[in-house]
Amino acid sequence: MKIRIIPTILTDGLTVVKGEQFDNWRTVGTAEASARLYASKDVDELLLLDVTARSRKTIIDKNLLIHFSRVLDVPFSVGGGISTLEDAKMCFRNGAEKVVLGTSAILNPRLITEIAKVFGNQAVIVSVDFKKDDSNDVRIESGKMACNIDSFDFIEKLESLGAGEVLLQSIQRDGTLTSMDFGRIAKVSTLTKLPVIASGGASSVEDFLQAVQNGASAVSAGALFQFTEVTPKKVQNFLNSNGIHTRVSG
Amino acid sequence: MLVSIIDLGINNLTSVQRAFSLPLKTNDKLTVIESDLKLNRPDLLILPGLGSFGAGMTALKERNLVDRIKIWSSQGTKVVGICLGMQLLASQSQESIGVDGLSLIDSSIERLKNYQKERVPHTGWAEANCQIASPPFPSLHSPGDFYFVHSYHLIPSSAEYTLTKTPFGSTTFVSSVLQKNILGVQFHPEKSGSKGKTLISEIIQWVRDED
Repeated sequence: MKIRIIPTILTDGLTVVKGEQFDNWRTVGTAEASARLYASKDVDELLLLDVTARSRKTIIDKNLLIHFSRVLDVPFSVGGGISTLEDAKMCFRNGAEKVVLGTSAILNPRLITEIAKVFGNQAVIVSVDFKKDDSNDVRIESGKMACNIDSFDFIEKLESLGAGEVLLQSIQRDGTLTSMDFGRIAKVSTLTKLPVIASGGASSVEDFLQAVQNGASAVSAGALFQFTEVTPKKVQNFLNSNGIHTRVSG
Repeated sequence: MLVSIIDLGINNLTSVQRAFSLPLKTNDKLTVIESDLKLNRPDLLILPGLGSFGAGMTALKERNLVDRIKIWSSQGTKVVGICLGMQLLASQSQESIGVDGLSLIDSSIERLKNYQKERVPHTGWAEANCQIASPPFPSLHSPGDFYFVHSYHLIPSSAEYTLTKTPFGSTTFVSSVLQKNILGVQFHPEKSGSKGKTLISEIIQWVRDED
C-alpha cells in the first residue's frame, strides 16, 4: 500500500489553531483558506479536527464541512465531538470520507460498531492519544482527563469493534516539532492489523521515513506543514528516493 | 442530458454532486433521486457509495428503486456505481450474506484478504491499470493514482468485464468493470484530485457520445 501524507488542520470551530501538547491554542488563520491551500497542492488526504468541540458541548461545524467539501477534491476525515450515529451521518452527508472518534470511542466503544455497521469499517478512525512517551497513560477530553483503560488491550480490540484505522497521537509531542515517538508507533503497529496513522511531533522528512519504517501506514502533521519549508510533496519525494511508494498524481 | 444521482441517505452526496456537475453544459440537468416519485429516465445514473452492502440494498429497497434501476438500465441508461455503488451492481456479497444485489454485472463480492504488509481496509492511493486496448475512457491509460477506501472487492464472472486492475500485495483485484452500459469503479473519482476529474469528464463524454 502506498504511504499517505496527511496534513492536519486543527480548528476551534471558526479558525485554524495551533497548539502545543493539546493546549495553548492560538489562531493562525481560517480553516477554509487552509483547505484551499492544500487543495491546490493536490495533497493525499486531509484531517480536520475541532479540538474544542467537546468542551463546547457541540460537534464539528456543518458549514465548515460544506465549505471543505466544496473546495476539496481529495478525501478528508473529520473529528471533534462526534458522539452519536447521527453526528457521524451529518459528517458523511457533508462530504467527509471518514470520522475520527476519540473520547466517545473510549467511553462508548459500541459507537465504533454502530457507525461501522452503517458506513463500513473504513469510515471509522479511532484516535488514541498517549500522554507521554514512556507511559501507557491514554487521555480523553483533548488530553485533559485520564481514563481507566488498558490502552494496548483497547487497540487490539479496535478491529473487531469495527474500526478501520488507528490515529496514534502523542500529546507530549503535539505541535512541538521535536520528532516522533517511534517506539510507540512500532508497538502499536504490531498490536493491530489496522492501518496506523502516526501523529505528533513530525519535524523533518526523515521523521516520516522512520515512522513508516516502524510500521505506520500514514503520517500526519500540522505545524510542520504550516510553519516550515517542508511540504507534503517534499516528504513524498524523500520517501520515494528511499524506496517507499507514495501517490502518483495524475 | 439528464444526470441523476441516487441519494441513499448514507453516501457522500456533496462531493459526488459537485464532481459530476463540473463537466456539465448549460442545457444539461443534474438531479438527486430520493424516492421513486415523479422520475424521468436519466441518461446517466450515478449510484454513489459509502457503507455496507446490506445497508445499501436496504436503502434502495426502501426507496423502491431496485426495479427502477433495472428497468432504466435495460432501456439504455448508463449506470455508474462508485465504491459501494459498484458492489451493489453485483449479485451478492460476503459482507451481507443472503442479501440480493442488483445483479447488473454478473459478479460477486468478496472480502480482501490480509496480505503481507497490506492492511484491510485498503485505504489510500493506488494505480488502476487498464486491461483493454481502447476504453471509452482514454485517461485510464495515463499514469496517476485513484483514491480507494474499501474492504471488499468485486469478482466478475467473466474476465471480459474487467476494465482495470489494481495491485494489492503480491496479487491484484479488479478495480473497475464495464459491461455494456454499466460501469463500476471501486475507487472514488470524486475524491481523486485531477485524475478523477478527468475520468468524470470522460464518463460524461461517454454518455454524450451516444445521445
